[in-house]
Amino acid sequence: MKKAKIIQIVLRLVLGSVFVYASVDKILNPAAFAKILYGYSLFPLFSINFIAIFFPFIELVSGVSLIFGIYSKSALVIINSLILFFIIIISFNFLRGHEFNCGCFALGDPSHVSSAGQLLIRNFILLIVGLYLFFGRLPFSYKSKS
Amino acid sequence: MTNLKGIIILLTISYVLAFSYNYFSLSGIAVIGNWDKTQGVVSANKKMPVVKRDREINDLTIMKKIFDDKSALIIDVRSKEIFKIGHIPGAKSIPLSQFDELIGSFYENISMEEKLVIYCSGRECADSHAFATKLTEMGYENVKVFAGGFTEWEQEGFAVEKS
Repeated sequence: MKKAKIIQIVLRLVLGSVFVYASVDKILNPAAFAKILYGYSLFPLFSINFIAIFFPFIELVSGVSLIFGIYSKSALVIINSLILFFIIIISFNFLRGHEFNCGCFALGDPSHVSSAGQLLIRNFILLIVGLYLFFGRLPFSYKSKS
Repeated sequence: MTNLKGIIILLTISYVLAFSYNYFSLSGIAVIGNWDKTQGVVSANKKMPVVKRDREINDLTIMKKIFDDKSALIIDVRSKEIFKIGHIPGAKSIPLSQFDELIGSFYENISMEEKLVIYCSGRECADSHAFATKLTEMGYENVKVFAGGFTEWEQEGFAVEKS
């Protein structure tokens, strides 16, 4: 039991930190983040700035809440939904052959285009961690809960 | 159900923090951005904007007339490599990234009253505006930005110079 508990705490800190880290550059450079959102060619034009202002704080607040264990189940619902949403939009743009800068972490190089495969693998790993934390066990685990 | 309560609380906190921060931050942006390409170069519409619509030449025919009359010095701020592939004939190449190195001789040779038209790749590129802002701050009085940039110039089939 103890070991599982430690793993859970470590993963909680890791996943929370990933989300806090991801939010920082977006919060500091909302205009650059908005331009990246524009580059996804997915969001209605009137909503781009609203998303650019609001979204990074959802990442920050749910990340912090997960780290400190305050409403952490709720934070996990938000985080898992966000990761699922990332997977959907990345796949969608990949399937229609639209190149874009993901703007996932650092916003630095505006011409940087990430490989969709890498992004998807990264997001799937995060999603597995998120689901594990939410359900208390790995979604594909054959072991019973210990 | 307890999850739902938490979700609402977390989202509300995020919302309040986000819009308060954006309101007070100097790097804040307007709630609605300028993303309509027909209006000019797109941007998030920052509090301290780089993109300024009032200095844009948004009409290709006006740009063509300036070119034909040679009534302004045209400056291409894209990289040297891209400039070589094709640019507006007679344009001077000063990449935005090399502004500090190249602006010295420009400053010595070009008077403050000279009419200048800056362009980059097009309506999704704000480098021309960033460049124009720097020139304006130096004291240049007649700085315009050709919003359509090289993309629209080339699409229209106007002359293109290579080298």
